[in-house]
Amino acid sequence: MSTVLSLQAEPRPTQGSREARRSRRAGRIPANVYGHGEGNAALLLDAHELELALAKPGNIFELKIGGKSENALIKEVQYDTFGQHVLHVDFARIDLSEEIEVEVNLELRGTPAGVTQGGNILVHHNTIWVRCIASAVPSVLEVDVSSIEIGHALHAGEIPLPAGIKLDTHKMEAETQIIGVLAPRAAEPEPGEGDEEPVEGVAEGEKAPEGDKPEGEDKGGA
Amino acid sequence: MKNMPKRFKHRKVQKGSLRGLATRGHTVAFGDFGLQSLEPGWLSARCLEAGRVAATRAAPGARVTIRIFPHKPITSIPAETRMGKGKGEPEYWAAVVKPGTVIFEVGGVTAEQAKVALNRVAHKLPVSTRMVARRTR
Repeated sequence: MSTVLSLQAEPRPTQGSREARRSRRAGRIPANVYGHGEGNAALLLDAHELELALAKPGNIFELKIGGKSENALIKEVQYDTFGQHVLHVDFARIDLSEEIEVEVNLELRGTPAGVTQGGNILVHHNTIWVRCIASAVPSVLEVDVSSIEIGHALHAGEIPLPAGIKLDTHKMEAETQIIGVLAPRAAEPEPGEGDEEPVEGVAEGEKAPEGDKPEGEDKGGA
Repeated sequence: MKNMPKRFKHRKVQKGSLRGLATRGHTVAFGDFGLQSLEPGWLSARCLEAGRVAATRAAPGARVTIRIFPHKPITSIPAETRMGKGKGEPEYWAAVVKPGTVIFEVGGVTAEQAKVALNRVAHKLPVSTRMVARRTR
């Protein structure tokens, strides 16, 4: 069961990128909340409080805006280039009693049998899409992968889900592979000095004729 | 596999700009851990191949992904040549990297193995880098 995290927010009176930058410098992160038949609302969140809240598992937040509070699902978190600072957060209003579609993180438990036999684990998806009432959204889903043999895979439909939670087949088909175990690859021949030299030589040799051809063709075509 | 484009429109291109930060390709997308550039630079096809070999040797069985490709032909003029007489001949191919670009990714290994592998890769590259993990939210 997901815990509802509380966040203090205040309406954002100003808009635009310059104002957003000023807000970030002052330790306030711009955010938006939308949906449920109501208009969009531009908000400001405390950067430190938001950082602490995002570090906890859970997708549902109780936004306290002025005197009133509303429940919202986190939709998108934008980070800077180095992924260190939050730039903006999108929230979608929800009713805790309604059914919603949400992406939940998977936590793998155990070592696949195939891996102990020398196979390689291949994680295709770290999350799955589920449908459930908002108050029952799990923070994380634990998946036991210890029984996966070499050449076998765990599909989205095979993940045991708690009561009341089902796979969202519109977003993720039941046949979608989540985790697979591949047979061990044959050892790669170690490329020595001799291997790299011919590659460079071929590349250099082919550069001029390949490059000349398209240019010549272009001129001829025009 | 040759680490250069299969076909190209122009043999020689201008130097271009390395200003600014990466606006795409700055998150770990395919593996579990990545090597993120902290500086701008040109990464030659040769150093990318050296990095790939280093990573696969350091972490056998890991899925190694190279997130960048050397699209840019770099020319040079021979030594002891007088200036002028036109642009030099293509010497090698390079990938343009801006701060924040994830250059290599590894998957299917533990964090410790990934750290060793990416550290070996980092020693082959002409830019300073850091290891980053896949973001869960």
